[in-house]
Amino acid sequence: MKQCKDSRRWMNDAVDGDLRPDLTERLEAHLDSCPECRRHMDDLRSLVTAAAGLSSELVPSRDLWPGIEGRLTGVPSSRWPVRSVVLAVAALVVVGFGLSLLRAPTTGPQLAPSADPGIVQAHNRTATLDDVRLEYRQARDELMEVVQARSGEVSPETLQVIENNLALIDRAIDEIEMVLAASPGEGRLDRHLLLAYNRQIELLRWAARMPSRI
Amino acid sequence: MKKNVVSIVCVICLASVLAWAERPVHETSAAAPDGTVEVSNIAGLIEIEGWDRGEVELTGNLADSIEKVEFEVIGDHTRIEVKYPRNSKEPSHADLKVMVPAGSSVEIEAVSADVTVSRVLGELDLESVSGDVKVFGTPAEIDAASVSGDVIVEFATDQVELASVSGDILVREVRGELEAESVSGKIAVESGLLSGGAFETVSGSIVLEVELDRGHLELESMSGNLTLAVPHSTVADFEVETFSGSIDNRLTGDQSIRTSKHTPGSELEFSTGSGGSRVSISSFSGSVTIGG
Repeated sequence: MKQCKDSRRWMNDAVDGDLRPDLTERLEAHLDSCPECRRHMDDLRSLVTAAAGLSSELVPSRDLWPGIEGRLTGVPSSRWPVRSVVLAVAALVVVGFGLSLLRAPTTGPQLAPSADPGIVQAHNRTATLDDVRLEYRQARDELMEVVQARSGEVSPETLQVIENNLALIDRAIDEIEMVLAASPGEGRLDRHLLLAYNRQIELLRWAARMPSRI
Repeated sequence: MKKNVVSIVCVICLASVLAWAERPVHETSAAAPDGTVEVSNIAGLIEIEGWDRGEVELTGNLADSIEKVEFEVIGDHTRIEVKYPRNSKEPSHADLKVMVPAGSSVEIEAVSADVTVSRVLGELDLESVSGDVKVFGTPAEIDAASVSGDVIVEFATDQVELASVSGDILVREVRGELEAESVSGKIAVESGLLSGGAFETVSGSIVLEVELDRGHLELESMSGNLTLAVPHSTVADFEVETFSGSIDNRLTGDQSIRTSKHTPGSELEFSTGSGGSRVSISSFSGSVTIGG
């Protein structure tokens, strides 16, 4: 049971190629012996492959989600809600491409501006910063729905902490956007924006997946 | 009327006494020296301690309202689960002490129960919602999380992953790699030798007072202040970047430079020698202090 739980936690990093070699070995060993986790991993790889194949979009069509969500099964833990985990994983995979840019070395922007200030280059794919914004906001909204649906399961104090910190990140994003408007295409600002979105998605993922109090 | 009031008070008192009445529990079974022990308890305490015997021993006290404690050993897996009455409004709790073979791996799920694990050498997977989680000793691997409780680790080795929402994370005497993530809770590492790690918060502060042993160390926050105190002899490449937070470098004379005319943010890159650690620090509005 713990192996399944660990493995599913490592899968996102594995599909991004960011998992440590020793953990990759352990994950692969587990996948050899667990058909359910293997199927889960195959689904994640399929989604990422689909995303990588898109030439002008950063993320796959939303139409992939219902099928993926239907095939994925929850982690084997009674207090971690299955639907929340599925949505959280799905949202993470969708934003994973953007987040993977953040995991690269911090020197220099990962979304380098092109000649057109509104266009950024990422791993030979072209997407506007607006595309990235849109996808992050969609992922945020979907995770927010999950968090709100769980409001009865989480203590009011914890919900307050999450709301306060989401508001803090929102204010940071607004500040970055204001400066970006004044100096569009500045790579460092793109990076700060992505970092802020990253924190927001990570926080919502936490809130969507955290164990209930009952 | 007065008599009725007295009767009602007596009934309430009796109900309270019954609710808090306790009964002892004691179970023992032979267990594999490197098996897995899984414990689940909603409220009260879970105390796990490693010993050199090849058996698991459960002792403790249960509130009378608790239905039972399931204790079963299947192969090398021991499962202990406290069964609470469904839909009960009465306060209920179980205080458990579990002695396990020192080489065991331990998995714990709690809600408000505090969790303490000591002298266990296997892997630990510990989770509580509002209870504190404490680990003492040198387990092979630690994965510990609490939503609003504190997470405290002393003498950790190798691979450690800690998480909280509003609780603080405190580590003393770390060895190896460490990852810690919090929303508003403070993350503090008071001593030890880090060979890499990642520390992230939204509004909580991060304070690391450690030595670095190669590896890549990452610190990141939105509004939380970041402090990295390392010896002056540290060999590392540093990269620091903020959107609006200040950068205070007390380790060398290198000064940060402003990166945009529209923000007070700045960046700083410096090296104290090659072949050492790589340190990346990023903050939105939190201040960054690097000290010797």
